[in-house]
Amino acid sequence: MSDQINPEVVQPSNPGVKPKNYLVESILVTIFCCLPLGVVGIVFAAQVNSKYDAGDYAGAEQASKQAKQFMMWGLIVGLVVLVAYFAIMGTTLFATFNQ
Amino acid sequence: MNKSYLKFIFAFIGVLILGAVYFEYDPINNLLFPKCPLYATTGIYCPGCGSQRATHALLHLDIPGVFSSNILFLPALLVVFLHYSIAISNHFLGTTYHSILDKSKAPWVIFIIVVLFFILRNIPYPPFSYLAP
Repeated sequence: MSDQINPEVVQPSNPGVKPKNYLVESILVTIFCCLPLGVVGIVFAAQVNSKYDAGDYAGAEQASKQAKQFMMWGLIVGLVVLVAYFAIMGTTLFATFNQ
Repeated sequence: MNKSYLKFIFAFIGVLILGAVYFEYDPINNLLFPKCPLYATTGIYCPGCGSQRATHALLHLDIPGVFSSNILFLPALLVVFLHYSIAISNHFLGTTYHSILDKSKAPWVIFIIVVLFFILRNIPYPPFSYLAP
């Protein structure tokens, strides 16, 4: 009876499906990019799996979001550094040729 | 559905262009290629350091060169290639293969390998110094 009065904690709509852990993307960021943000992504990928295996679906969803964030930040920082590098290189070359 | 196909096509074209650039130019001492920002600012080799040289070496089929630049580069590339091949095969051919990366403990195993590599390649004495790019 009390079960019906106190409903369980809200679960994601499909608790049977494991959330994406972004492991492959994190590996790619780790190997092809510069900063160790991909390594943090791998840690959250591990948490997605362990929380899902423990039945903590909400926690797994949360870890999935964080894994995605760190993987994306690794990617964004890498791209920003790349663009900044070419901008500085371009201006320097331009200034040298115009002297 | 069409959007994901477009993403694949763009990624494929991007890889082709980058491949051509990395085949043609050697990243060592070439201003065209940015240095790793972590190495440039701190002098620390990250787990990705040496990947540009490894890419150049791989495109020239210089396998020892690939391993001496970044020992994890080729294994990582093979695992990722296998993972996507399995995903594509399962999607289009209806196979039910499992990727090694889908195993529950895979992220921890990879994390331990990457962190060990990160630490060991920064030790400036042999044999660890061979892990430096």
